[in-house]
Amino acid sequence: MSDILLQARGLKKDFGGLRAINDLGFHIYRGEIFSVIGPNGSGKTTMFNLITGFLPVTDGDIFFKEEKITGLKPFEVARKGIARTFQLTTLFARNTVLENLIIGHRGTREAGLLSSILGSRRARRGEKYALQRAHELTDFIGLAGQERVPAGALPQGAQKQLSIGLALASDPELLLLDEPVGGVNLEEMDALIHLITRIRNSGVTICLIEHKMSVVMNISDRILALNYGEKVAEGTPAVVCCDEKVIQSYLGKTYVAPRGSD
Amino acid sequence: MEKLTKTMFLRDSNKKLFYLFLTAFLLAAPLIITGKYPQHIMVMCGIWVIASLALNLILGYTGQLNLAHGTFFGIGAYATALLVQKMGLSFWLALPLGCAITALFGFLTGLPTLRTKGHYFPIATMCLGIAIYYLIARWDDLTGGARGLFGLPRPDPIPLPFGKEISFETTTACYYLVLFFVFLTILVKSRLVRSLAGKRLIAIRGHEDLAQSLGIDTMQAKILSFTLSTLFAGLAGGLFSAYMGTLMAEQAHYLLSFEMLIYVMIGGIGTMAGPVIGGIFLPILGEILQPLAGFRLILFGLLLILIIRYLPFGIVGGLHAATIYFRHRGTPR
Repeated sequence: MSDILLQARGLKKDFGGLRAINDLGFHIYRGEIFSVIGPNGSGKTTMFNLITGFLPVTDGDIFFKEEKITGLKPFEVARKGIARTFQLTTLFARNTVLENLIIGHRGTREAGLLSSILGSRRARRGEKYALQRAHELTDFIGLAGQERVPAGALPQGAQKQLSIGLALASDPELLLLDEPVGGVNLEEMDALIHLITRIRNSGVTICLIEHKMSVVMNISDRILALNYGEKVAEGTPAVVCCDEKVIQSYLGKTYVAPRGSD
Repeated sequence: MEKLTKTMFLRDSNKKLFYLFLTAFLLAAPLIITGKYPQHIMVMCGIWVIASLALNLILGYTGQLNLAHGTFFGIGAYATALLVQKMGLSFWLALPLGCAITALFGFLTGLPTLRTKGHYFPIATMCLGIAIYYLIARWDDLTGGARGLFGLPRPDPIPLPFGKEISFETTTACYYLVLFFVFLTILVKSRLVRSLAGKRLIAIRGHEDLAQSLGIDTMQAKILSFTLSTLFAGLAGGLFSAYMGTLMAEQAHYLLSFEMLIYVMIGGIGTMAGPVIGGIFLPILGEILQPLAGFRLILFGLLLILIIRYLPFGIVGGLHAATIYFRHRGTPR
């Protein structure tokens, strides 16, 4: 695991006088699950927004596959192969599960307007692929049999699954998940963790923000800990959970690592 | 492999049969309804249906409230009329050119206005609508100002073999002409909405940031949708000018946009059939309520409030909910 997929150097973000991210540098290896932890307001979601182009960076650079992606628009970043989910589960609520996944398919963003109106063979083939892929994905994310349910009518856990599936529909190389198990019950949480590891096993690199330490420590290959927009620690779970500064700023003095110090 | 369209609607053979009967009825209508006045209303309904369908593309499917739709209708009407009257072009050349001019206007105004989010797009388009209305009403040399344009010829006859021709002097002939364009508009719009390119628009309506995160160029898609929507508004306007033979600044009045908005809202926003139903039902209702004069607007307002409160997806949404209700009533879950 030495192949670097995403790299940030000297990242800075100011909101007016407030520095949300300060001189942040890190890298994500291809094929790993990379977690970002830190107290509320430590800049985790801001970091996601900087990577995906939803916020302009104040200073610094982000490289994806050794190509500079700083300053690109969100849709351009997505086309490079970076997909994301949002902290507040975001779906096309009025559309069904299957429609959501069709919208997410990469063919949708490229389909020509004129060829669609004329119903060209290429357009029809694209629709066929998108539909086929959407069916595959509903199975993969564990929502088989619910294809025609409007996304807004799904329970919270299933909505989270679908939002991940939606991001996955665009065939990304890097998937950014913002609190993928936030606000779900234990059973749903297991399904989501299972899904995340299966996505990683299928070859997609994952970067996730999460507050549930039991989840983070168990599934992550490496962890980045933030506080006040600065890097506190970066490394394997065993290293990060024993780091004095991480314990002080985030975990609390009474925290006991779930896996000991292996 | 099932078709993509099947994922959007519950399609059954009943529906196909219904559409077949409807088409047959529309084709035979002038033979049944022979009066000149009812036929005139039928032509007008067709024109409003085209305009409402066009508005629904940007409003219902792309989620952008365009309050200058009536203005684009007016631009199309004036452009077509002026090309015929001042440039001496044939209607069949002037109509597509008029549509193109309207679409160009749409494209150019869309570039800055569609960048805005939230309420700014409706505000910007309404300002545009008001400005262009006064421009048309005051530009005496070009548009005839408040007097308007008159003596516009009907579409030139289409020559047929054996020395025959299709003339558009009768209301019946105009009805078929408008009906043809209604079908064309429906065809283009339904194809677009059901295609993958149309899913881009639906994605923008649903959640613009989410659409962006999926690699959809939302600005480009909005511009395309807006341009296409204005193109068909121009088509409705062009047909109107040739059919009526006169044009007044009132036909580009900014309040016209609200009238079309009401047609779409009451028919069913974001539905295929909504603008068709709204564009037929409301103008007819308006004619029936003619004796009430200004009071009918109060009635329309009341109707709109009731629809928005109880049927957010209009008549079509209400019918849809009712079928689901009756289909599942009695069947154990």
